[in-house]
Amino acid sequence: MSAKAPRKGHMPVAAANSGAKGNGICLRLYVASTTPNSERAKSNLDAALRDFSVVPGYRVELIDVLADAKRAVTDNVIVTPTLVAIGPTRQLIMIGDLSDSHKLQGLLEAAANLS
Amino acid sequence: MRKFAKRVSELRSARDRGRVSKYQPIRKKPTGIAGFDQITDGGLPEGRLTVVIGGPGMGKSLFALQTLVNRLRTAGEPGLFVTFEEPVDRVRVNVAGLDWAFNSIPENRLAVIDARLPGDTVQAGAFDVSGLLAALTARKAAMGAKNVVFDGIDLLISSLNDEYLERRELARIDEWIRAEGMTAILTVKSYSMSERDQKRADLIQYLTDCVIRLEGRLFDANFSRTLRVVKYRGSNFAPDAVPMAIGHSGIEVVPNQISRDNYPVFSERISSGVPRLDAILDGGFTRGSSILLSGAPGTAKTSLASSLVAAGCARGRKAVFVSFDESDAQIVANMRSIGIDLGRHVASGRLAMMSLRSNGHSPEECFLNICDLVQRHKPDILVVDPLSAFMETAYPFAAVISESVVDLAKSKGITFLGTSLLGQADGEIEASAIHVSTIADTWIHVSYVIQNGERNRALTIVKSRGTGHSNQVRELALTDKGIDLVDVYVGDGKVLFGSARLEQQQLETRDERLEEVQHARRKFELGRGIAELQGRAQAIVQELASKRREAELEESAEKVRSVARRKAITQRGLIRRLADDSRVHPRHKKQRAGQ
Repeated sequence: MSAKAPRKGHMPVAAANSGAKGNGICLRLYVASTTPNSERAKSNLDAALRDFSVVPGYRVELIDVLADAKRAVTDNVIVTPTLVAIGPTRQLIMIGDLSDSHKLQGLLEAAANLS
Repeated sequence: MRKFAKRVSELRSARDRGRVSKYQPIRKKPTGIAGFDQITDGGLPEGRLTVVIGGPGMGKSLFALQTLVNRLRTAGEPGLFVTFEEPVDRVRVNVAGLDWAFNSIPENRLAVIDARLPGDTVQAGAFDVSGLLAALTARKAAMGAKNVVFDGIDLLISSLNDEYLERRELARIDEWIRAEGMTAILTVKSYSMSERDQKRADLIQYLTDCVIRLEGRLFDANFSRTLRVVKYRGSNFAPDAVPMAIGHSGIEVVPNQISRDNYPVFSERISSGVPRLDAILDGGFTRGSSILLSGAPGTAKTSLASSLVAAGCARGRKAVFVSFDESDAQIVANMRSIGIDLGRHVASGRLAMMSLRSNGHSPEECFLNICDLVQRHKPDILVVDPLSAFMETAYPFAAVISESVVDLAKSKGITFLGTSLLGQADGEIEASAIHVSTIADTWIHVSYVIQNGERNRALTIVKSRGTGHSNQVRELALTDKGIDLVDVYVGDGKVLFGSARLEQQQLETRDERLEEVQHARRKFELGRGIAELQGRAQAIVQELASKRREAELEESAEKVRSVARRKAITQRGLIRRLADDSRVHPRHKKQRAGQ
């Protein structure tokens, strides 16, 4: 249950909202404002994206369900944080604060194959 | 020091006063499941968490969903049903067979929300349910929901796999419902019961205000469901497990607290359909009373019950006849053979018959079927034949249910007759009679009496509350014209039934005839003797009279004679003196004249 400490000098996920549009893979992270799990998930995703450049073209979308509850209804968000890698035909879902870097890496590698 | 202690006690009492005004007693929301609302004295705690724990198939989801539907229907409160285990479709299919018309309820009144994680979801670290609660907050605001169900919440939070985190999420839900003013039901499985599951169940029980446990057990081959309120903060409740059944209206709970008060009371008498029985009951059964009719197989219990029903229907009353393991048509045909026409009353709509199977149905389920029919038909008379059908099963609540049936009838002022099959009783009332006998107002026992190689039915009124009744044993006779009671032969230190009674009566009749003839002869002879004597007496009286007459005549003749003689003597004397005078001295003549 050890959350990785956020690394310095990376592009925060929040800023990546309007990131480069590549092959249409979207990494959507649902968070609950600044609750501890959500904060950890954001920084863990940041770190992973910086360390493993496995997804050639992607964009990151951050949705705060506490700020946008309607979105939580329409997207049927159950737990936060939830990371959804959306490809053209299917999607991969991961829940939790993304503290398991091996699992996160696996998801990102799989996401690269979604296109 | 003393001053300080005084100050402390003042502060304490001030604080306690404050507490009294600050904390309101909990308010309750009826679930609409009548038996449950009764044992919890009003339903679920409003604005609190209630947890329903039970194994698979025990009806946890049903209980929760039924409460939501009832709250919507009775109080107009929209609800949210969050399913963590089953897809929405299956939730809907599960209740489609019930009489709720669930699928006609619009989504904005009762929303079924799929909160299952997609099957291929990978978990990487700790999560929370904030996302779900955010979505629920939005839905609640949109539809004004008052109640929420988290169905199978344990499936989600158990994947946190950490006691602390699980507790935190439960606390989050608890906090949310309190903040939003929602009343919530959590359902939690209890079947796996590993150490962790046990801990989780304990934790949930600790966190919540009201804990309900649904259980099911096999008794021989009979499955019995129970509901038990394990805990209810701030409220009294009946802590016993009570029988529960799942029928076409969903869950029904049969509370075993029988009020036994507020029963309507009648003084009116209703006929049993057997005039002689009415007579020995001092006018018939009391309306609204309960009658237990016990006896061995074939002792005409069904016939007596049918007789009561037929008599009631003939007076324009409505009746319900519940039988076990025998078809309605069979009963109608059997009764026709002894001159009781039930078919006519079925056709007129006054009589509703229902045949239940005692096998494979719990007494609770049978009871609910009876309740349902009673609600619909609103009878004046209810017959359950035999009521003891419940007792022949291994179900644990059979006795309670038997009482509940009687209570149902009494509470509605329905005259109730239940038959009870007792083992072969040799003219004596068995001590092991079913429990109902204690609450029955009238208990009639029919037994077989075996005499001279013949069985006959003997009817006794064991008890009859509030009415005078005969303590005599009667013989019950079945004829093609119906039922009749016959006085048994009592005499010579013997009690005789059937043909023995007839024989004895014939014997007596013959003896009596003989006596009569002899009497007549003796009487005739005596009469003749008397007549003869009277004749003789009369002759003597006549003779006496004639003798008296003779004597009188004799007397009077004698008088006449003596007078005549004296006259004759005088004349003779005169004549003789005249002759003497002619010859005596004149001096003598003078002397005689002076005399």
